[in-house]
Amino acid sequence: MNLLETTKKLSSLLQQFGNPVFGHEVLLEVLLEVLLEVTDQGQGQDLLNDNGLFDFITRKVSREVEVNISSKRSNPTTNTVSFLVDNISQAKAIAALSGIRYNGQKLTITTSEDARIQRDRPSEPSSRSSVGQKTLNAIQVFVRSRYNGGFLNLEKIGDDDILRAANVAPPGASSRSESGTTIIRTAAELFPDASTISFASNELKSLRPIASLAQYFPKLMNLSLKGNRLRDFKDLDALSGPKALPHLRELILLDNPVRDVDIALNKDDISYRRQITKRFPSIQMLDQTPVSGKIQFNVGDIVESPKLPMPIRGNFFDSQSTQETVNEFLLNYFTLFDADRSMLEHVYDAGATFSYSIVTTAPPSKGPAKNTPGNWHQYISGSRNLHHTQELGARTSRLHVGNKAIVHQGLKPLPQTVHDLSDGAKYSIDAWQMTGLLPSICIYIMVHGEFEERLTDRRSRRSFERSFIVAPALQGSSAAANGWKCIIISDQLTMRSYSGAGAWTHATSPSNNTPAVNALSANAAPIPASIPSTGATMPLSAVIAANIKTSLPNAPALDSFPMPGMSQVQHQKALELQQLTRLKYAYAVECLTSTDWNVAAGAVLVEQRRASLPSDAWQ
Amino acid sequence: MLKGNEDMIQWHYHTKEHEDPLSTKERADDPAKDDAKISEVYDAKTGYGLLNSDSLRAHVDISSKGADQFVELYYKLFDTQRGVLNRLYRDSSAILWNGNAYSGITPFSEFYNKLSSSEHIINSYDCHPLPTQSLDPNTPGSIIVNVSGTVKYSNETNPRLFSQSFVLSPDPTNGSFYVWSDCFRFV
Repeated sequence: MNLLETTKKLSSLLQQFGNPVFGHEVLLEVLLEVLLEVTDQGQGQDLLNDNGLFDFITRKVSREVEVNISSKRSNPTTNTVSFLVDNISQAKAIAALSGIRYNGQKLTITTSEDARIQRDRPSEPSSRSSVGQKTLNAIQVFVRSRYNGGFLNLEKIGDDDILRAANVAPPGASSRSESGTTIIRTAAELFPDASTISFASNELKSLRPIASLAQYFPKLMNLSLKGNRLRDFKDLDALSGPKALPHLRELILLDNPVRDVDIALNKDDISYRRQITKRFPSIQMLDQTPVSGKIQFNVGDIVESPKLPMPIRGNFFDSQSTQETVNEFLLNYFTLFDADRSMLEHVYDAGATFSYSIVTTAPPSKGPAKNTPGNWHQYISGSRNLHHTQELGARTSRLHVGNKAIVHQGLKPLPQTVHDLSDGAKYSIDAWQMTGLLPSICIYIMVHGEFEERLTDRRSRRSFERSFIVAPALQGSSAAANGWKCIIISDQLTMRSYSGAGAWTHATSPSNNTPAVNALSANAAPIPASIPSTGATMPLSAVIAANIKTSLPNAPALDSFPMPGMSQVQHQKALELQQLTRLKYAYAVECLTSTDWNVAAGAVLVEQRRASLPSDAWQ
Repeated sequence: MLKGNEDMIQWHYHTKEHEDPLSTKERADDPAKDDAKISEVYDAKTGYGLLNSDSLRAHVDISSKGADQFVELYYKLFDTQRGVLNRLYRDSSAILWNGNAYSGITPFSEFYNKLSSSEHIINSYDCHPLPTQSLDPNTPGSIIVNVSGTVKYSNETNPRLFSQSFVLSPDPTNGSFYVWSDCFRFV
């Protein structure tokens, strides 16, 4: 049948339906076919199978539009390849490539609108370009003819006149036939609410040709597969399971070998029905008999409760002054840890302790725990993991005591590191002031984060935990002289495989402290390359100094440094008097010196003298 | 917030009323004697620390054995007898759980009773003795213990990596150690 006859038949069908819009659709779809012509002979078929060609075209237009190429066909006699795209803009974009060279051949590209004109010339062979449209249109007509009030009767597709005329093979007829998918997709476009579909008597040997039912009719409720050639239960796999057709209520598999043979074998249909209900757990009617005898449980809607009783919050600081002090300290510390560890001699106390340990098992997210000690050979001999290291000698030697030992035996042997402090999200900091633990007030800091380890031949990313206990740097100490406000009493480092910042960046509540500073370097100016060591107490970063307040009303006085020559006991008494009277430290000291370091007498004296003390004597 | 600690100023060598049950030495009323004792605590050469090489091994021995015991005990209790856990804390304990602060054991135990039952696997732990009041290794001072491992809650399918850092201190009334502070995070 040639095009003219088909078109006539089509228009007579069109008239049957009396749908003027349908005619418009036909026109539109014609435009969506793209024709490729190549200059050389005998290339048409090769081009069809050359996926590289279609990738090439897709890529070339990808900046303007994403194209979806389907239904590729070739015509060897005319050395053309044609295919369908989704819409006009895709067709036009590809057509605009005409003249482009591919694999040394020039491609002439036209859209089917151009071709249509050629097609109408009688000398042209029956158009290869219209094959796509012809089929689609026929399918649409066919589908429409089978729909009636929610019921799509797609039985006996192979016998259908319309589809026969359009040379459409029924689903399952050949392994390459996609007509099942096309029919179903077309049906879903036209009648998306169809809840009952029959595929009876279609000689289906398996459900694969109609597997797209799951995609296009996910809410399907009733399905008939009566009178097909389904032989084994596995032939049903393509639509089995709770995910494929979760709303299926009724299924008919009468007159299929899978049913008849099983029933004959077992003398009853019990095991057959069990096999089917297992594969189609939602059905309530099978072969026109209710599915019964099932024990049901009804627990209502199970509301997912949040798994953890408290949300995960971000950084914790107990006060603004803690936050500022800690941020400054960590920024300076890690900067030097990366750049020049010998400078860190000043920040460790003469009796400080440092040790590190490594965890060599991979994080649980990466599957079952895998031990990869090979990645860690730099660290293993010094790792003080008490869980593995039981012997006192090793436990002692791997603990470094005193600033010099720490820097030279503890820190410097570790591989070079880079901490990216510009991204606060990569680090989690919890810090608060502790009184009563050590002779002086101290700050406890817990940092979690990551660093890049740089060896000569490779770089690795690691995650780490590090606890610091820091105390105020005493006036006149080398720490203070080098710009440190804190000195380290204890530093414990744990390193492990990189696991990212997900555990705390997915904090379900905002962090506890003032919104300003989560990034460590938010307040900092760039650190000067060399630390000036004048005698004065100059901070490492001039900008930070301007921002940090050294005494806030609610914070225990971090600025109360024992003066040189004062003993510890005297320092404590001064602090006590401070607390009792709210005097500034220097004044408390002065008061005590005149009362022979008797706190009670000092307090009395302060009360007596209260009126005459200057206003800046008070905190 | 963690203000609990402010009440806990236990200047061991400072307040006259306070008896140190662990010390066999007589309390000195003479400030000069105090000074002499205290200058051992803070010394410009050794700083706040007091771990000279003679006593280092002893300090390491006691502190690390303490850590061994604590880690085993704590997670066993947490996993199997969580109700008893509060005996390891005090009302003054400073507790932080993934950024949520608890002042004292009572609010914290309310929280952890809601936590699903757990199974902890310890990968590593380390500890340092801290230069607290006494430098006599026979009267152990506070220690800081950091633990890394994985924890699986029964209402979750996947285990989580965690890091927990404890400061353990001796209770002045009976010398047994308790959790002075506890900082826990998923990592």
